[in-house]
Amino acid sequence: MADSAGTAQLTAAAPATPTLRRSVTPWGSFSWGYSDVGADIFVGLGLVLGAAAGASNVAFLFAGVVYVCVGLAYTELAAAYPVAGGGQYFVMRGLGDIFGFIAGWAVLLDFTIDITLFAWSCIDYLSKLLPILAFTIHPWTHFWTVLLLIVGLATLNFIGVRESSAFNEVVSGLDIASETAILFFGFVFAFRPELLIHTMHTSWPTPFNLMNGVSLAIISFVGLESISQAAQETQRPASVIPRTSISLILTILIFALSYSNLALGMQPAHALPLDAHGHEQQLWAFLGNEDNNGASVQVLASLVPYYGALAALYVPVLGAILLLISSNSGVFGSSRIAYAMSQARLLPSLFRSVHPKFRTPAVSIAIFCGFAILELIFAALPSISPGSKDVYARLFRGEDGITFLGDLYAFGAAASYSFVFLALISLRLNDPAVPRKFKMPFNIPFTYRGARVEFPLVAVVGFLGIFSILFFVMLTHVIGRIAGPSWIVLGIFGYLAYRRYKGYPMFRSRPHDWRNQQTKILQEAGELELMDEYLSNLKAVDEQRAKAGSA
Amino acid sequence: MRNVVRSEGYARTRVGIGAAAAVLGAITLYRTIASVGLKLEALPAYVLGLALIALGVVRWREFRAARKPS
Repeated sequence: MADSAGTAQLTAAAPATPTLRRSVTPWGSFSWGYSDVGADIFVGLGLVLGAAAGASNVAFLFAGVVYVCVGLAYTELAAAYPVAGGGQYFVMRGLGDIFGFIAGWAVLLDFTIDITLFAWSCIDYLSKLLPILAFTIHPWTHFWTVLLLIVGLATLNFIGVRESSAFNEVVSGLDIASETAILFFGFVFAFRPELLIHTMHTSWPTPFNLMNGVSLAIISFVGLESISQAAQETQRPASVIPRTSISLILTILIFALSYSNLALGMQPAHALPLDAHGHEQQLWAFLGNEDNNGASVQVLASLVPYYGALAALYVPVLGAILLLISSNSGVFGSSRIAYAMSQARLLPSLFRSVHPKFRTPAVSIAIFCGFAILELIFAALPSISPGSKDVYARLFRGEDGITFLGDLYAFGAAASYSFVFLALISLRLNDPAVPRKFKMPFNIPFTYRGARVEFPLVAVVGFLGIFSILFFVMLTHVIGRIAGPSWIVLGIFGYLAYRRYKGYPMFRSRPHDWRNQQTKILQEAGELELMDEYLSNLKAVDEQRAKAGSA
Repeated sequence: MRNVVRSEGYARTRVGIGAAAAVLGAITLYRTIASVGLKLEALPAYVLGLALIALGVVRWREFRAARKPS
């Protein structure tokens, strides 16, 4: 009742300037997250199997544990601060403007890569049914199709979130049902635990390859950012976000572990073809080779007993649609982050202009889709222009195409998540008054500057985990080592130039009235009870700190 | 779509799939322990089994919370 009254008041006092509308439902919020993270396994499985061989499930487990920590951190922060900025906003509040910019800029890299990588993989899956789209045989057709997809998604997002959200919801539901069926038949009829152990013993990789595998496995878990991106457009976010996030974390973890364990321990329904040297090959090697690693989920599904024949027919289409939606999440996410960063004066005002009719950040959509197209050209260049192959071989050890995109994707994710953990710790200590409807487990309570706070142990574990993955990325990927830091450094130069031009502090933060802003955020989200709780917490914390100061 | 996800049937389907996940998790755990015992190498398989059971429990708790009269 209080909610509807509050909503009515907010509607009556609707601001004159256009803002993002709250049209994403709980299922829509889950779908945004699922369509982004859920599609990752379609790209990641083959790459990880190719790198980590018999330890692929360990690579997924390591990255999965880190992902659970990241997921819990995002759940807590997005429920407490339901704004479109996501990680960038949390870092800015916790660590200051410049770190907020760096985190946001790294996430923007990830989202622009997301647009290209998943549009690319979408066409790879479709090429299993339409060989004319195969990248290795018709690189120009592949290139133009991916380009058209990106332009199409940009147009869809320009029109508005509601249309694409409904699309996500239907396909996410279909994909979850399909993947559950594949895994059910696989585990019940073909999984052999003794074969799993045998494969792990006989095909254990070198430490370098295992680190490479772990750094690629994190690709399969990137995208929880989408839920916090959608937080500003979700109804009752403080209640909805924790519910959808926990389900999402578990679902994605289960799918990643299931596929990797099946790939190592499944007895295929049909005999596998011999390898190039005429030798028998194991399932993981078959899935991770160059012919199949782009569509490994489809190949694995086709080898599941009883259900495989049916799965072989529809998984390429369903996979392609899910990957397309994930690409769409990249368009959505990048434009929303840029919008939020611009509102915080981390990016120029151009990025916060909202289309008066559709109420979408149209300029941001155009700019970041432009970046995505540049990345596409860079990734596809060695194939469509053979002359540049030598340059890539000399500079990037020949990494191009999907590997190039994967490297940068892993770098951006690991870099931004590292800052998010630090921000979470900082906010727990410095902003204890904000009501947290969901808290990461395992906390140590103590008194900090006169107020009772809780130190999050899981955030420390998560930080160490994601930082080690960042280290693995830098160690094992040439592109990640060169292009990733270059993106960050160029961004910092641009940021400093903008701040100087505007007369804002360059290295310090602008003055922020976080208290008023938080009250407004909760009010606009319709979380009126939480707003009251926040105001009374503020009073109590101020009194505690004043008492501690006078003592 | 929105009407479907708000319906009683959808909630029952979700809890049903959750129960199936929990059963599959229990089968995975049982078969892994029965065939290879408790080995460090089988850790990912144990975690998978436990995660499936956890998903079933989460779905069941959500279902019960939704049915509780406010």
